[in-house]
Amino acid sequence: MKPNPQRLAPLALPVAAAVLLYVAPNYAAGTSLPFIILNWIVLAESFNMFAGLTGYVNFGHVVFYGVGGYIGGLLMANSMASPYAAVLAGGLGSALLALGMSLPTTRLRGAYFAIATLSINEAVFVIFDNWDAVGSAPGFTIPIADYLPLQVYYVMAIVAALCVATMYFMTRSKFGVAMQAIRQQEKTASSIGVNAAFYKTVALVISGFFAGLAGALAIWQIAFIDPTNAFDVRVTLNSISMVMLGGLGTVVGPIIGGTLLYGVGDYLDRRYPFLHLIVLGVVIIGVVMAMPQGIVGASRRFFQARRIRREESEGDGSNSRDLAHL
Amino acid sequence: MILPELVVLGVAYGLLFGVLALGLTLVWGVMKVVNIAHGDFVTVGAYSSYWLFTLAGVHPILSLLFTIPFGFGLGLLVYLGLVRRVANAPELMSLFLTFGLSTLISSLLLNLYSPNQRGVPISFPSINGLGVVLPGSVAIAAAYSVVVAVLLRLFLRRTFWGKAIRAVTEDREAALLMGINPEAVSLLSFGIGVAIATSVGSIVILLQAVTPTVGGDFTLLSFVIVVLGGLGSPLGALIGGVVIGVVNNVASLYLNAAVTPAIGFIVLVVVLIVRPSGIAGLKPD
Amino acid sequence: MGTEGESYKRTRRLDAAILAFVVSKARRALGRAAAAGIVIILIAVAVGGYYYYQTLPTAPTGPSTIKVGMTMPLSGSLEADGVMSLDGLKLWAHNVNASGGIYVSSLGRKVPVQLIYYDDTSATSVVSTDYQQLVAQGVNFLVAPYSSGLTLAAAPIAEANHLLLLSHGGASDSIWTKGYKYVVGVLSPGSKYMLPVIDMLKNLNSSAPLKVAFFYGNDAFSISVVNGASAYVNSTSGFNIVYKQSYDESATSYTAQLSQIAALNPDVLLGGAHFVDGETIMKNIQSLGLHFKMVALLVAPDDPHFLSDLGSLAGYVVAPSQWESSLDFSSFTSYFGNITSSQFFTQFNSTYKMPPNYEAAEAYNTGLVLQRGIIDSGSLNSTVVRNQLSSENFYTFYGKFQLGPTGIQAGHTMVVMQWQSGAKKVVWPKPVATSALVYPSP
Repeated sequence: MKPNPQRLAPLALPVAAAVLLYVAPNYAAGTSLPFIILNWIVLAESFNMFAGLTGYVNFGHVVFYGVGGYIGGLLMANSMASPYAAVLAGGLGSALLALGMSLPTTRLRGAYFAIATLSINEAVFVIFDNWDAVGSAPGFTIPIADYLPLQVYYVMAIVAALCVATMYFMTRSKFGVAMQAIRQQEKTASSIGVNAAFYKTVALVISGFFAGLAGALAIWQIAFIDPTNAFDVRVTLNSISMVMLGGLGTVVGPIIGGTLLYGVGDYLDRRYPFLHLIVLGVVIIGVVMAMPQGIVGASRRFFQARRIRREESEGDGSNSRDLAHL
Repeated sequence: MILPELVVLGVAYGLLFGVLALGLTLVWGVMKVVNIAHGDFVTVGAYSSYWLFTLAGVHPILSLLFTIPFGFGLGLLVYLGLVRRVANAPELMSLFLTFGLSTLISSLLLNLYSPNQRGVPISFPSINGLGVVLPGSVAIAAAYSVVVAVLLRLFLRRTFWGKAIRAVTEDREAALLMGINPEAVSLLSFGIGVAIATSVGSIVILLQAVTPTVGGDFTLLSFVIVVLGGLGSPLGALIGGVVIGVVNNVASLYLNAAVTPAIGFIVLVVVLIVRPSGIAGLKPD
Repeated sequence: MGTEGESYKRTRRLDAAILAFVVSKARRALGRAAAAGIVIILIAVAVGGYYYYQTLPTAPTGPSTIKVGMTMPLSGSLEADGVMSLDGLKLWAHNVNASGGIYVSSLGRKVPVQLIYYDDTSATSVVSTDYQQLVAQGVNFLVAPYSSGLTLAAAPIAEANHLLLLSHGGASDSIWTKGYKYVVGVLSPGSKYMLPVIDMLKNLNSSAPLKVAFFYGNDAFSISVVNGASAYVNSTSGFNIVYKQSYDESATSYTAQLSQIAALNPDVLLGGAHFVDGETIMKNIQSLGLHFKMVALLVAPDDPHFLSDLGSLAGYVVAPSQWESSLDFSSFTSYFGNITSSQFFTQFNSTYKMPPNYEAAEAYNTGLVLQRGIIDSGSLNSTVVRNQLSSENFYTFYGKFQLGPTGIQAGHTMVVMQWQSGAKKVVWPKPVATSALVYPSP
């Protein structure tokens, strides 16, 4: 009795769309939880676009989120643009920032890159914390008139879909092959004509664009921004945790990791407000010890092992190419 | 009048945090692990000294006799139980693991000892010389840092295990071929790294009060110092510490105190643009 | 270790694996897009299911409890203040429920109180998301988190959802300049914090102008305090501001700045922000061997740990205070709440094994204010209770409650405390003082 998923396949995407666009907002007692999860998915996936493909840790990922939020928020607070245009401006602004950031940092290797981006994060935080024109430490709020949770949710869903699709095409294109070469052996890749700095810059700009959109959408939804909110290094650390939990460099890893980590964290925070961080620490350590490749990697291994067992019992060794593919 | 005083203060604080960064750089050099929990071990040391003082009246300086071996033992356990899994793995793995460890340590301290700030009411006479006033506690911190730095240098230059650590830092495979057991070297250096952090905690409790979550600030500071000096270079860590200490203090003369924390980070980024491997760093590959 | 290193490199092609995870044998048959679609559906269903589960208990026929939602900084830089505030509110809820709850006349019965609280880890981003969660759970009223920064993050969500937000630990005046209707202040706003301290200094009638140095945290609360104080200082004679700078609250040392301040030789150091930085400033002052005639810091000196951590160093430090246990308003006619300051102190101390500071009193009082609003309006509707609070004018153990037009607290007044020989003494204003100010400090 084999299932026949071929007939179900064409239904999958419309059903997913229906759930995201209709069921979630109408039957989830509000859009805030689905919004937050989608926001985290975009943050994690955009982190993954750079870290997963190039192997470099952008420890300042939240800078894109924060700057996108500030640009979008300032445009909304001063009624200089519609919220939709403000969100787009936030994304583009962060993409530009990523371009600027790549100039001094793409020649740095390994941990130097990580700490340099962390330093940029801290410096940007201090600048915004003392910049009176953008509200300095107390931050600012956007008018309640712009509080449109349903619209924000739909835009968030579209951005999340675009973000995941972009990651999908990045991994499946020539671009992805080049990135893989950089990740595995940057020097060799450079010597055979792969312009490592160029590819890293492009990946960082795209990553910055989506994180900036997420930041601008977040301020549209929560109507408030301040520097400790916008440039909190814990946002980067959470994004890293989500990606690592789901599976680094995979398309759906951040979706799974983001949903699980936020969902579990939120649940624990409600039930055990004094103990939830202990559990989070244990979960993270447990993931590294038990499945260092994340959920996607672990399940892949599990099915690979099953397949090998099955093929061995069937005495069929001709499928080795497929195995390597897995 | 005020400038030399700020420079002396900066050097003194810089030495202490330089020594703290020494522990971090040693670990990175040997096993390429960036330890986010480094600052939390400082907190553990500070709490140990606090409790020894509060419950048994042990002076924090005397409590070094406990925090150093305690930190070393803790380091061995943490290495064998956890860090061994991510030694020489891609740095995201070690960042992720040590982030979990850091979260665990700080939230355990929080639940065990409440969020209240802990300090010891001990004071030292300040030292006056050449028109410069140096707080006694800061002078002790600087003196302790110099002692640790000198001892560590002697250890790394004169003893077999010290030489083994340097060999593995420079070239792991070559060291292996020479009959050095890199696993044992990693274990040893992680123990030393944590012992340095916990012992710095005993000194920190003399300078300020601590909370369970203060560790993140120390981690950040040692990150910047280590990278500024150059990863894997003990001398670089000390230089980096002093540079950051002096720059931050002197900058406070000219800038609002709320802005000065950015100066250290900006200096770091500028140095990395000029020298991608820090002031005295090894090649990162 | 070798196999581990190998395994890291093999993280590719996840869709196949996930697909296998979902429908085990269908990998080749199903298109990749379909696989992704199924994953999205599963997650959406999980999200929907989670939410469905969350909303189930919120739909009983009549309200069995009054749901009061909040986050508190139970970890992170404001954890000590957050725990103190939460304990104050828990004690209030305990006392209310011990008497059967709050009488709601529209329901004709007493309804017990249920506190719903999360840890916001001192992060405004967490505050924002958690308050949306609280709204989705159908809470009746909201209490703000401790601190101005966190309150500012919670305010737009309360406002947009028409839920009363009671601010007990968010004093910054900027909270009430944004036109929010639903944000109600229970405590004196930041701009008034240092005014009694300055009045007290003025009362010294010193011959030469007093040299004042402002050194304060770079956050919404401290900025509003110092702006209010320096405006007041400038409007009166007898003072001379020699230094005014903000600092980063997470700094591990302020020795560099304090050396500079000392070089200007001020009489009085005014400033601080919260707890951690306040203690660090005192340690640094001591280790540098500096002496000021008076040091007045925000928040930190009022906490009992200030004494145990600093010992003799705490001596003669001054702090503006929202409440002290020696204050007694119970003789006033419009007194509300069956508790006096000393009863509160005793009960809190025996329940939580630590003496309360004014943050705990603020939080307990927040419960009393809500209670009064519900009783007098007879409703559990936030809008009705908010309108009711506009016309209220009463005293509790914490002092007077009367709102200004924006929802800012206009009735309550601050006192000044000083550590004298290991005890907290109220030194200003004179009618409630338990001891005379020691100035200059020895």
